[in-house]
Amino acid sequence: MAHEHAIGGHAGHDDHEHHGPPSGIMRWITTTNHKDIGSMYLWFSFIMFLVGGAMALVIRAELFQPGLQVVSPDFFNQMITLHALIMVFGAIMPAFVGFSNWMIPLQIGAPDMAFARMNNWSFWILPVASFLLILSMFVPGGAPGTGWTLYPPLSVQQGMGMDLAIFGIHLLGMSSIMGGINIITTILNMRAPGMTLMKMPMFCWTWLITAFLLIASMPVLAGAVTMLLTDRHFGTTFFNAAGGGDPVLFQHIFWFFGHPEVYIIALPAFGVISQVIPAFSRKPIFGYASMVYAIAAIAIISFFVWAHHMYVTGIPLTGQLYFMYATMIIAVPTGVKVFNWVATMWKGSLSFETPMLFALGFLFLFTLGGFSGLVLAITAVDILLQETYYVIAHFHYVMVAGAVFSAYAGAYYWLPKWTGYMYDETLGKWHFWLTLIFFNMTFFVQHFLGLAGMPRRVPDYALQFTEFNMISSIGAFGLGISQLLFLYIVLKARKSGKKVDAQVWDGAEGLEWTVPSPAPYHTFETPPVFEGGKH
Amino acid sequence: MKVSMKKFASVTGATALAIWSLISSSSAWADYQLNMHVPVTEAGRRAYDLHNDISLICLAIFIIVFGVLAYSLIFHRKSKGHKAADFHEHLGVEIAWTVIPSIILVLIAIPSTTTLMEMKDTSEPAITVKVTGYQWKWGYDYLKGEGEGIKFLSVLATPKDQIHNKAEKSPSYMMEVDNPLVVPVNTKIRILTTANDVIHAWAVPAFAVKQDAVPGFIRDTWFKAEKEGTYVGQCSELCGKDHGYMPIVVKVVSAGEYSTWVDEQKKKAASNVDDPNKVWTLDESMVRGEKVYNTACASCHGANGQGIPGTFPALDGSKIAKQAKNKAAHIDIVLHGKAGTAMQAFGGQLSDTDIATVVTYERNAWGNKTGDVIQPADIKAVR
Amino acid sequence: MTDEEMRALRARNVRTALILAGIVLVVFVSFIIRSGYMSGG
Repeated sequence: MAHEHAIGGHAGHDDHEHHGPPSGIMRWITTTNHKDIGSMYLWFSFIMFLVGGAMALVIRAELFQPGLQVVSPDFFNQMITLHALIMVFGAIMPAFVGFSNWMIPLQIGAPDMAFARMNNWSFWILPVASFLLILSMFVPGGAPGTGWTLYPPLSVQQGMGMDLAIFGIHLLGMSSIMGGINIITTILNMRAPGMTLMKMPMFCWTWLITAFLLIASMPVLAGAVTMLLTDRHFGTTFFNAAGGGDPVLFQHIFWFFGHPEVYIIALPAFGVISQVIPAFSRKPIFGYASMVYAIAAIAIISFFVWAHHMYVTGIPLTGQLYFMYATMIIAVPTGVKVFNWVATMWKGSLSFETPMLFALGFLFLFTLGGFSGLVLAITAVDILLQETYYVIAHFHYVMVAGAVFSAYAGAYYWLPKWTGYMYDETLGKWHFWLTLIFFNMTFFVQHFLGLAGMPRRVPDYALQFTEFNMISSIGAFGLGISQLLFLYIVLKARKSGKKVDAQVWDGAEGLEWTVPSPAPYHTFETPPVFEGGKH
Repeated sequence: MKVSMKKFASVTGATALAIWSLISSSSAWADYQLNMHVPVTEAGRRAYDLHNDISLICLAIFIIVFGVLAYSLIFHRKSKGHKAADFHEHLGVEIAWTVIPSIILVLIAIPSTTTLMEMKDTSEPAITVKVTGYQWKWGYDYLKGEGEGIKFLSVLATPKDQIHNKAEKSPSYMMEVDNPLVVPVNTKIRILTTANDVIHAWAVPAFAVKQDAVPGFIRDTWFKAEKEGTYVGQCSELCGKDHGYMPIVVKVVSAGEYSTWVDEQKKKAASNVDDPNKVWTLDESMVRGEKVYNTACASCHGANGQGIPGTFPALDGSKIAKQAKNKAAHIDIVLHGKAGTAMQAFGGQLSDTDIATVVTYERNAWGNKTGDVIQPADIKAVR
Repeated sequence: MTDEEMRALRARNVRTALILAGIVLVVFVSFIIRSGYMSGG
């Protein structure tokens, strides 16, 4: 049996007993194979990660010194908008959808996703949507300069770039919804005999719950941008006070989507970490059931805290108090997860390969981000910190240190399974330490900028903020360049990596390690019998 | 493995050292502000203390949790031959680490609630000022209390040359305006916020005040500054191109100085009233009009009328500003704005004389040599 | 897996997907309608 190197670009012949994929580019366009689609998601998200990162570097270059040096304020605003939209919808979300495509069928013992053709659609909509977002930079008026939150009336003022972005967001939402439906159906209906829900790997649990968040929150975003579109062109006044509407209504709707979105990004990251930490602790995950309940609790509460993004919009005192309390409650299940991970490592037999290093980096930095989140939840304090760099620092600790570190942990963890080759451990460690140091250099100092009062989304600042901005900008360039190392590591592994066995890591558990490395093009065509984990 | 880890440690150490020496050799060490300004209001100080307390609690939890983790990372290593235990649940600790954080959260919630209630109590102000956000300046309107009736716009005073690095930046770079808000010390000031075009936010960290200004709605906040001085803040909601260039400057003065300032403002307002029936010559109009243009129009349409292609239309050579048949349309767009674009209605901000002269200026500056002279009476007639 | 089992699984999958798609549609439409009421019709 000649195995496909599914992560690679070369499509060799395939003498598998089933009909093989067509060769060349058509293989990738027409594929319905979950492994091919997973690989495309991962490659796509990495490319978008570099594109969004380049935009971040434009921002940091401009902020290196006070005054205007590199770009105009107008273009600066376009960069902050596109950086956020591309990173959230083009890089982080597709990365975890890529993991889900690859790993969910392998982990539950299913032959493929439930709707293989729809899966192909979900993916191929993405490049088109991202193209629209990037295209908006080149139309008259440029890309939207509103920030990714797209608040009206500012977004109503924008040129046609805004319409392209709205269309792009609609497509991205459709892709996510289709992906969500696919994942829920696959997990609910196609598990191997013997694998009950409470015996599923934690990664599948996090994705099952995330997919429900997608189903419930993406249509809300679609509704919000649809109303924006009709306000812009068809004379409705949903968000226009002059016609009886209210600009703040948009913010309520946007954040009703936006807060669950944070957990759409965070929960799969939790899932990856919950796979990696037990594997390198050589000890089953601590408190499996309470972990599952904690994820479910976080997901449910996430729909009831949206207005903590809006403390200074003028919501009444009772509203501020309610949203403060509700937000503080989220700290409890989140804390439970952190404690569980620590308890998993306690008295384990720990080793520190690259996936584990990234998981530990995640734990350390995500906890910091959680603490600054608790500070921001307190309305009285948030009034001082809202719309400052403190908020930027906070959510980059959650998004970059949370999602990106976790994605790297997962990528190094499963890369040998995908390609059949081991990556270079020394280079992997270099990648981790460089990323960790430059990440903190970039974002830790931004806490101080925010505390001192520097507002976000400004291209220029008072002289007192100069030094920290310089440190942050230098860190950002270091962070950006270090990520190219990952690309080199992956290519090197494929070219000259050591061949690996089915069981790549001695402490790893799960059905995915029972198939050969690289995973054959078709797996589990007859469902495996699941003996039950140690939970 | 061990060797490579040592290498990493030394590289890490060297990098940290390099960064540290970079930082400490900088002469501007005093600029490294690590915490908030201590606010000069009672409510602000309470929020400041609250922030410090919560941060310390977080730090304590962080040290405990990661202390435990660090112990585990050091002593439970495979390389030290540690064998993994096989436990995977314990009801006792799971209940403990759910209940204890909950109790800590309740303890945090209590002072947070009382502080917030104090910050939101805008009742019984001595002076009420309405603040209006414009793209990209602030309008202040003293509605009630001493100084009632005073009204002015407040625009960034930093010269363009400093922003574009053609001149040395002054210490107050970006933090200076032509007309600051002036208020008396130890007096409760209620701020009503609204906006003319898009959402802005009025914020002064030293007063622990931040309030969105939403077009079509009025929000409120308050402060009672306890120390005289000049306090600055910035617009805190993205409002378009020059969002970064609309600072807020508040001068807190003694009661006596405030009364003097109010008198001055009243006198200035009285002497500044233009004769609405005056007939302006082209030259007079061009001088006055250029001034108005530079404060009200130049940020979008450019000092030389070129605009920003694709975003803000050029006026130099534009149909509206150049063709005789569009004179009325020109006045109309300045007075009433253009719906769905950033072109705002200036009718409420500028006097008839200002509008007349600025329209004259736009119709005669650069290549638009129309020779038209608009009179204040023309504006009054179409208002 | 026999053909019959396969067909049964497919039917079950489609049913699940239709329910989920229904949720999506209801959320999307209800948010717009509710917003319409809030902004005065």
